[in-house]
Amino acid sequence: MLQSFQRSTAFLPEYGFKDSDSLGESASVLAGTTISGLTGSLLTLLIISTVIILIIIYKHWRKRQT
Amino acid sequence: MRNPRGAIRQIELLSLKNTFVHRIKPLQQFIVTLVFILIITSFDQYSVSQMLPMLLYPAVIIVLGEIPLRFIIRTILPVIPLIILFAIANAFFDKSEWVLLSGVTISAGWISALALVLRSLMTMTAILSFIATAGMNGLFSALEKLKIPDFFITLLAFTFRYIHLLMEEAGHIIRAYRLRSPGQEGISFQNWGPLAGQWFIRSYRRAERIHSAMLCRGLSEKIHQNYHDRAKLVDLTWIFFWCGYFILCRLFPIPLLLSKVTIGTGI
Repeated sequence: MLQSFQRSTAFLPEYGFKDSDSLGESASVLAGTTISGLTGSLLTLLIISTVIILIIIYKHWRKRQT
Repeated sequence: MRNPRGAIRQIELLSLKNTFVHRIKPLQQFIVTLVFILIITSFDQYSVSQMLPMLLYPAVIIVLGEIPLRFIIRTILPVIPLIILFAIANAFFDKSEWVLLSGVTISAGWISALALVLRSLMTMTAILSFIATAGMNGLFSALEKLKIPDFFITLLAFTFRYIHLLMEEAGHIIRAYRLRSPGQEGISFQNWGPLAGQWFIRSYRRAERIHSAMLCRGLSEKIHQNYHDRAKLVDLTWIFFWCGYFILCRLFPIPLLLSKVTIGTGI
């Protein structure tokens, strides 16, 4: 069920755009990979920032405790 | 331009802090930094996004080690123009096309240029973070434990310890030159050679005097760093955690996997 849901909501199935008629198949996949890469990079940076913020908050909390 | 003596002094001061990272043994820190550099240089020339998860390591060291970001930026800043120069040259040499978006293509050289800049910055930040937490003595002790020949360690140690004397000599020469050529802006190009020669001779003579004084005080070839305490569990965990994380980043395209999970690419 989850797989069918993901298939229906997939923004870039097989790293290519759903509407790839205007583009060549390979060009669509390449552009899709770029978008995936950009999205993934942003998410990675977001996760790293979250980890760093959590460490900073923890350090401040530890300092207050002592 | 930043005063190099100030930078060296700051490195020494930063390494005296007492944080979690500072308490990790220098050898373990050195190994993790080495693995980080090896893995970051092993990425494909177009791997920009795949390299990003590796950013976690220098970021964590900076935060946990309480290293001022200003120190990192100020130290790296003089090298950045050189990196950009190489990166731009790379962009012109690599002419293959890269599809960005539908109908938008750029030269693949720009992607590899971005990867080169990112790689260089991350590597330099990792090295600086290591030096700022372990200190130069920590580096020497790590090299000693890795069985690097004593000659090289002694050479490195003396270069670091006496580099301020070299700068002092340069300062004397520049002051003497300015007193003898009033009203002149900087040092004229034709005097660069003789002044560099003078600098070398003066430094060599001073080094000879220092060496003689050290021999009189019983200098041996080996400098004992007195870091003979054994690695604790936390040091070993540190190595295994980070090396495991680096290998994971190298083997799996984490950003692409993240985008697959969130926006459903690659079904």
